[in-house]
Amino acid sequence: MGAAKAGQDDAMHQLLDRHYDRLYAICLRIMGNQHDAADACQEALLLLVRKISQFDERAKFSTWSHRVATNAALDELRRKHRRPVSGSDTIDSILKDSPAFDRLVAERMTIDDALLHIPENFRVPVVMRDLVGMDYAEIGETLGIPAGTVRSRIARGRAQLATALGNSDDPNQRQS
Amino acid sequence: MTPDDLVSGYIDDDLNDEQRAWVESDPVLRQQVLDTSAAIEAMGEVVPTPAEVRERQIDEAMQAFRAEGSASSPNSSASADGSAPPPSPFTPPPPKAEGRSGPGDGDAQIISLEHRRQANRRVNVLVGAAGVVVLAGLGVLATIGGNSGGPLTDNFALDRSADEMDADTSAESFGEQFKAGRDSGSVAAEAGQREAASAEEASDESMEYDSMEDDDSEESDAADTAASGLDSSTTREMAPIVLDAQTSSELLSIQRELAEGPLRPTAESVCADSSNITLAGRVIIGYVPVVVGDTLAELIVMETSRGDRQSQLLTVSDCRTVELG
Repeated sequence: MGAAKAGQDDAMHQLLDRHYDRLYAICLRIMGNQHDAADACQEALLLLVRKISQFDERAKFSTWSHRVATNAALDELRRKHRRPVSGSDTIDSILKDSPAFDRLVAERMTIDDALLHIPENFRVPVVMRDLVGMDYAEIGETLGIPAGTVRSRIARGRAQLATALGNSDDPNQRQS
Repeated sequence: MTPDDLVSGYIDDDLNDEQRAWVESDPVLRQQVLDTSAAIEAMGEVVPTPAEVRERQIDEAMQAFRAEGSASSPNSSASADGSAPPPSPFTPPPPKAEGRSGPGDGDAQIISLEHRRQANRRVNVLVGAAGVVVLAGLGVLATIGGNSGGPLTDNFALDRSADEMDADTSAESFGEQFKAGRDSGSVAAEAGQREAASAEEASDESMEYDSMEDDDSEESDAADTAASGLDSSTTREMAPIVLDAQTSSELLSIQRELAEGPLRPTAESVCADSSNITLAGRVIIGYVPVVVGDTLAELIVMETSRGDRQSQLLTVSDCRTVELG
């Protein structure tokens, strides 16, 4: 970390390489499609390398970088607000284009497909809570909504995710 | 407070004692907790990124990093006099096969569809032989943690009553077990650290199918419920196929072999694509077609994000659960 902050090329490269997949996952699950996720992730990487010298190491690098990625994705989301690409289409094209692309990928795409069924205002708090690890207050502060609303949206978003994945009954049919 | 709030609050350890007790005593809510936790776990898994995108993005960021360094730090590796920075000693990992990377690379060998077809043909031959053995028997063996006792006369009814009994008797252990899981890092945000721990845990638990026979195991109760790879709401509405104990025993042997054998991911399982089965957070790592009576079925082996292996026997025609007795 110190070496990266001091401007050493190889140290920074290793840092990005080590954390890239996680940062991309955060962007993908907030943005909802690979194209926008790639844009957001690129922006996050640029922010990281530009701000690394200001990183005070009070938090872990992973914690800090995840928040940078979250904010980059939220900025991208606000800026673009375009309709996400269907996850099913993505799966089909991947499987068609690359027969060696294995089942593991398809299963993960199914998760992304399920996330697409969740409205953005529920999906984003769920990702921030469950993928980035932010608490209700932090999420509320970032999104500009009260913590109680965050709690409620996370509850509904999680229920919808479980339903979309076929793990649970439709929430509308649950006991009340 | 809605059921969704209770479930979500339970996962976040954000309930008071009374609410927590309510969740733990309600089998429906308990199941929802497990299902939702599985969904969160699945979301936390690392996304395979196309290698070319990954490398290009990191390269662009590194260019910006060098530019920042040359502009602000005279001691950085990008020299202030405008000359090119020294070559990086870092050697990027070799590109993954086929230009794509996946979490299974290096761990599980990913083989091409053609290879899989060849392998499957070999498996079919083996399984044909196994099928003969299977046909000699009767009965059914089950989804994970299945009843290892005598043959079932009514699997569905037995399953349900077992579930209900579990709900009545194991609320406390459910809470303890869930809390232990949460404390050990069950939130997807900690998946990175958890992966190493999971690998260790998986090797510790490589008894895998031993637990299938241990009906008294506290651990297997919730795990079985959590991980039954099937959406019970859809599959159980269809009449299950009932096998006898001997057939079940034979199938259990096959399951064990599958669990211990060099399984490879497959994309060719008919049931794997069925909407009747739920694969959240689970990866199909192998399957074997078997003959059950006059019905062709598939024995699917899945791996959870924790590294546990589970199996399901499904009929090919409609991917119904075959309940093993």
